[in-house]
Amino acid sequence: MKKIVFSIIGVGLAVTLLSYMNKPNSTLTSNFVTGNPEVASINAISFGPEGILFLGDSKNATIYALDTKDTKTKNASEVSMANFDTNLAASLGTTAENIKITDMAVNPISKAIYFSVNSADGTPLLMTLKDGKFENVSLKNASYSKIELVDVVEDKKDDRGRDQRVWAIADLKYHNGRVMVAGLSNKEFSSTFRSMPFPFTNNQDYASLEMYHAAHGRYETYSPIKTFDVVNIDKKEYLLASYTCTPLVLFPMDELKGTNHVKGRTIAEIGAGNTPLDMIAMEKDGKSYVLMANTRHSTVKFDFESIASTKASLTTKVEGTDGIAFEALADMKDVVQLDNLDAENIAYLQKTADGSLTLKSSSI
Amino acid sequence: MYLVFFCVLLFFNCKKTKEGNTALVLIETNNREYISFESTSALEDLSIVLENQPDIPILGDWSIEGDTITFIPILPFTVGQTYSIKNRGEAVYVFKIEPEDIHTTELIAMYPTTDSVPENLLKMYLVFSKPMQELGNSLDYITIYDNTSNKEVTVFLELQSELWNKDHNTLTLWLDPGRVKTDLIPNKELGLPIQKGHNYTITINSNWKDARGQPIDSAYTKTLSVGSRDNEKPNTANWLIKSPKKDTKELLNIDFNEAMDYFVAMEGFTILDSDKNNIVGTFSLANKEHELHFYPNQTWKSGTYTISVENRLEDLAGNNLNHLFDTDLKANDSIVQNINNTYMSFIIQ
Repeated sequence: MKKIVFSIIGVGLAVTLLSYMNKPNSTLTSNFVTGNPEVASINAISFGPEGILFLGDSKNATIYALDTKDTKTKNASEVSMANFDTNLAASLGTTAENIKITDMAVNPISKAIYFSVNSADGTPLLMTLKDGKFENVSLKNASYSKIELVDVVEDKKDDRGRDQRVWAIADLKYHNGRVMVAGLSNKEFSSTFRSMPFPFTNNQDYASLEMYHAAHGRYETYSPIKTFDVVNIDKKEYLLASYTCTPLVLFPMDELKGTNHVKGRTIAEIGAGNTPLDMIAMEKDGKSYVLMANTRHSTVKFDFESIASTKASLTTKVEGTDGIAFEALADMKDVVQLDNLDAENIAYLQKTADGSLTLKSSSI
Repeated sequence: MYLVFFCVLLFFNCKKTKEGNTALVLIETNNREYISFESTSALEDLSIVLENQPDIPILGDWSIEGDTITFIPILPFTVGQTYSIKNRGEAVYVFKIEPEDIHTTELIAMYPTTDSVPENLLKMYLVFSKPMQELGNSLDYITIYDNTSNKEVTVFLELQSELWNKDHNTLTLWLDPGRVKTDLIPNKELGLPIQKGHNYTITINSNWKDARGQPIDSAYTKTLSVGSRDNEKPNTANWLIKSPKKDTKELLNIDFNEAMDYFVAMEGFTILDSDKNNIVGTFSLANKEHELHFYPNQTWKSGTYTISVENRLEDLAGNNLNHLFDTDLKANDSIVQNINNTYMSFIIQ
């Protein structure tokens, strides 16, 4: 019996050793710790390299990097599930009105779709859909690192137990070694955009961004970014951001450093009374596009070349739409979540006429 | 054939029941966190489902110790829902989670507490006695009726990420800043969220549930009588300081001459003695947020004291000590002063 136990331990050690040896790029996770990160809420998720998933937690004002260990390369297959929210809720033993799907992200390696969910009682959950079945990604014994979002204005010490500041995280993306976070503080109606290197260090930049809000007819720093992505134009990186009411604005990434005050260039105006929900860059037939889902309008498609080539800078008040042209995708109305499934396909969650959510994939 | 003997162990009162050909010994349960029972079944034969979703097993952790099997769902069971324990696909036990017999949640404050507000009122806060549900649909439970025009109106800004505090019992509601700021398109198209001379009733619906899934104790209403636009920054020169007496723990009273934003005011003050040491004590707002009261833990000594006011202190229109909320922050425009604190002093003889 003892021999068997020792053999098992021996095999276990060998497997552990092998798994370490087989991890060539462990530098990204070398400062990760194992344990319960005590995530309090998950408001936004985004994949980085090597199956690392970034979680934005508004309640803790913290960004977590989670090693999902979901790194087996797979090809994407078509996705389709009606009553997605009802099914997800049933696998959690509850009904659709008791959960809120806060974000969706596709693992670019395994193509598994991840969902962040907040339940009515405040339990934050990370879920995946694998072969049509939901699985829970437990955070109880996770490999992770984290960084707290510091405020530009230092918070009052909480010696009176009355600090009510919350950092409402609107969007989160990993790009080229940096994690970027857009959000809003509940105290001052001001937009904050943070950018930090990954692996996390003590550094974080909090540039204040200013743009000409064509629908509002003035420069604004108060508007909160709702969704953003990073695009390359003439070998230079730009933050492409969208706001409520709905301008599309370019900021040069190399200027978003320290506490710089950066002025953006408004290149399009999609219209008032609308809020952008999600944005991704995608490719089809060798051409690049940017897709943006909206509350009031259908999902819109921008030709990347027109984003790259436009010299537009909307600095006069706009009634309706203006700037670079876009195509409204008629069958993609009421899309609430959007991500790249693979190089040429996207996955999205769409609200149907009866109010339920359908998960679909499409090549646009 | 598969005689399963269940003993559902939770709390202490036991009862026996029979369901089909499966005998069950169970103890009544109303625990949202887990369920345990005695069974000779193999774990892989067991599943727990919502009664009306019999084909979707609920995700959670199964464990076995002796004959006792425990299932901890990843999400606690939902109040009001009925669940089935299934053995090899056959339902062998059904249980329902009844509402917990504890005090219902109340709305304990709506700020500003005053009914008289300027037409450019910027924020309101709802404070509940317990955490509320976290579904991001709070505006579904708040209606605003314009009693002057006899119609329901939309006043609050809808945000994807609602502004709750960490305990999830305090909600910040913004009156759409795009409509409050003059000359913006939302302002020109829709006008101010609330109109001068109008009277509004805000109703908080009693169907709004707390985090445990139970509705709040009753509906609540609040009236707003809307006055003129507040176009002035709070001015400390207009404040009235009533100094306390030496060798007492009397309150220090600061009268703002106008109502202030509750939460910013509660955080925005520090009282320092002549050596610039922080005086520990308790702050509260009184007289419908027109006055700040400070009670020190220690008795006052004679000397010169400093009141440090953070310049982010706001009135009800979001005007702070540095600038008006309705300020056009143009690119190279440095009209906005950026001072962190303003200092005032008082002397105790």
